[in-house]
Amino acid sequence: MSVAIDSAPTSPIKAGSGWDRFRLARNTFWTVLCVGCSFLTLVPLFSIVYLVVVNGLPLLSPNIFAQLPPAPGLEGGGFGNAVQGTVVMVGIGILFAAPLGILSAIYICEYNRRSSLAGTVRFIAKLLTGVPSIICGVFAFARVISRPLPAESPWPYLRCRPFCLPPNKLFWEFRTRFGKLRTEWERPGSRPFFA
Amino acid sequence: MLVAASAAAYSASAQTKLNGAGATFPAPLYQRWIAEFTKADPKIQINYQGVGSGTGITNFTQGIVNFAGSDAAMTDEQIAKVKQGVVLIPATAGSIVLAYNLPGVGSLKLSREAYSGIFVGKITKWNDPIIAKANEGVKLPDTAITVCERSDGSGTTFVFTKHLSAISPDFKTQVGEGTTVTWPTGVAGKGNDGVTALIKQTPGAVGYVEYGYAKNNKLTFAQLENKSGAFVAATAESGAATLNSTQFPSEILRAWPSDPEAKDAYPISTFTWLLLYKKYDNKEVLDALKKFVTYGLTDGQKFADDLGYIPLPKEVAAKSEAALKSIE
Amino acid sequence: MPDTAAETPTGDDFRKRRFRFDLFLVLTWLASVATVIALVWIVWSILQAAFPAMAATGFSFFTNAVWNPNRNIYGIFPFLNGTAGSSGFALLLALPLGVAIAIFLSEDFLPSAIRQVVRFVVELLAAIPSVVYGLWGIAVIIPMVQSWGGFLSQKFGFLPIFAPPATGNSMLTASLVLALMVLPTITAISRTALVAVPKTLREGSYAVGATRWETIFKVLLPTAAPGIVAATILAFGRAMGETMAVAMLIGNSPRLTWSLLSPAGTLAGLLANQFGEASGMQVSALMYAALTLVLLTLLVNIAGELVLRHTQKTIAGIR
Repeated sequence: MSVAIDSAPTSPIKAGSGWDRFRLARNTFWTVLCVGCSFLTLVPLFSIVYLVVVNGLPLLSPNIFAQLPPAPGLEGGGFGNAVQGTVVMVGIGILFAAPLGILSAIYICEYNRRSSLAGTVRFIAKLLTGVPSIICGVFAFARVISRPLPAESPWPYLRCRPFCLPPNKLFWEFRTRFGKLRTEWERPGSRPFFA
Repeated sequence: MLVAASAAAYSASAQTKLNGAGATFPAPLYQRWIAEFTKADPKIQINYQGVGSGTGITNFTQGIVNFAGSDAAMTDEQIAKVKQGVVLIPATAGSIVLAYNLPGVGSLKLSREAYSGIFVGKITKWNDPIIAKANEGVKLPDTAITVCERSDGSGTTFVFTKHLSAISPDFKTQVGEGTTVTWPTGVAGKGNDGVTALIKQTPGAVGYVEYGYAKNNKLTFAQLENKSGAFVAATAESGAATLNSTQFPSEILRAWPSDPEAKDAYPISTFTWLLLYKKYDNKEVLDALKKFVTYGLTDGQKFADDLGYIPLPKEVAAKSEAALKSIE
Repeated sequence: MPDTAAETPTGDDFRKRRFRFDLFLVLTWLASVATVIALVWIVWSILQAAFPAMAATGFSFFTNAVWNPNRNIYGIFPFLNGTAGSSGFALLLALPLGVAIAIFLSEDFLPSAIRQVVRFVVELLAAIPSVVYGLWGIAVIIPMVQSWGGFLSQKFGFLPIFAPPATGNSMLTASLVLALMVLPTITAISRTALVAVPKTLREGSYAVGATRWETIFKVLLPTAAPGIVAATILAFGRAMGETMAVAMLIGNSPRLTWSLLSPAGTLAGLLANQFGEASGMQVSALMYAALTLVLLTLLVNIAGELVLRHTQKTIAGIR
């Protein structure tokens, strides 16, 4: 998004009185502080990446995906079970969430844009993204785990996954495809407040 | 594609699968048994998850798992809820140690008054006279004591609080015993490994962890005073001394030596149980399970000392095997 | 064009077309309704499971400062305090930093390429998993807090906020890491708010001779204030719900404390820690706590959304 500061003064302001000089000095001070803070945020990110890379990279090997965790007291092994579990869980979650989210997005953009259902869906989808992930787990526990199930079933953990994904899918589709296009087409010159 | 491949893998195996869940306390030993047993018999695949005694018992009651592990065995009410019946099999035993982080203090003796006072919150500094009394000649620093405990429900907490309630009436009224208690002071971590991590990263920390975890993570732990007044360190012998004096009150193999009297007994030791049903519908599962548990009770005991557990006393092992045979 | 009477659409044709069964419309409508129902279902399930505890404790659940499942005493005041305290302090740290970065990204102090890099980095911070933040906190922040915290509690221990005991795992550690986690939220929304301020306001301010920063402080920030407030509220909601990183760093203590340097507990951490072993009334009490958490986050997010929509109208009005 372009920045609306073309009209900032480009030539140096002539500092006449002492007060003006003070104003200029204060200006420079705040600039330095602001830019400094912005670069300060790079530090934690690099720290995190450094920590993970330095400790993790030497141990990176194909074994990680192929092997199971070793018994205590033994070396080696990997966490292939965790990788597979993550992939399966996320895969099934997206399988549920993608159709739901895309269809909802199509509804609120193509049909009945201004209906109360469309407004409600937009609002509630945004709220759903704010629900803490532990609540999804608690919900799955209340609905699924409290009732006995056959062994080896990943079902309980997957039931809650779809609830976290539709809102994200919804908004991605909404904004990138339909939102900008439709708004500009319907109200030329207006600025969609999505960004 | 990975999803399809793993789905295929799930259905295509001709192996017998056993699922177990329960206490984290014996988890390292069970994992070792599983690793060695499946090497010898690859047709059987066993999966044990250390999710905590409580979840293990819940899953076991609902029939989600084939066997469970619990430090708190099962109460009579819990046993009544399981329609297939329950057989409690003491599988191994261990000690709970008080690990501490005091750079420069290599050995520490904690009297009964000292360690119960620390955990009830009365003693807050390391150079407190009560601690110093038992440690002549050791320079104790003026650091605050950070108590490390369990944030999740745990059989380890159950055994430790049972012992503290038995030796300290103060503790019994203020805190009580249970798998989850409200400690009057300190920081909490999740699981034995959580507490271990807390102790390692906090100078001046003291916490209760299972002996195997302390040994594997090279933590220093204290010698505790037992009922007869001797300061005992946690070893296989001192633990065995505790267990040898334990009597099982009935044919249900369940007992807790909360305050052993023997001179060389380590004060905080406990059995940990494998919970199995009295009847199994699936013959393959039953056979595989019997083979695995028999392995654990016989050959498996030799790994116990390495990993920091106490090998079962001979009579107890015999009783366990008899109980195992009674399952059909 | 030949338009015979037979080809001209009649009223009947229009009516038939309107009521033709559109399967796709039905499908999309169902999907939308499902999204709405999802949220209602989540809250309703938790409410159902929480009924026993609600009947047993009522409102004293929120004021009781003791959480003792052993004795069937359930009170979440320490956890409410911990949640509010850690999130609030995190916001206190993240707000100035976030707004500073937003200003940097919306003004041309440095070339656009550098601005894009910083923007990218800040958004990357949002992509790091919570557990990694926890591990980093344990490795880097805890030693820092241990040394500084010890010093602070010795010198300023008379202030309740710095009272001992000072441990590495404390509300301060959790707040520091939480601040990093909510920084991208504040930055993104604040930047949008700043950029949306109409050019006319800036031009007018420069025309009367204001310096760059005088414009920012006196014109831009006040105009963008509702957007920044919305950013804060949404970031607060995000911080309240954060589970893993906080549980690893805050010490998980069920005791009430007002000190930043002592261990504390949050609602999300309580749920994460105690659900595994809970049984009977404890499960219901935890569900009650979960209900509290979800209603609180919903309330905060609704407030943030409403303020954000109000901003849109305000800006449109100025234009």
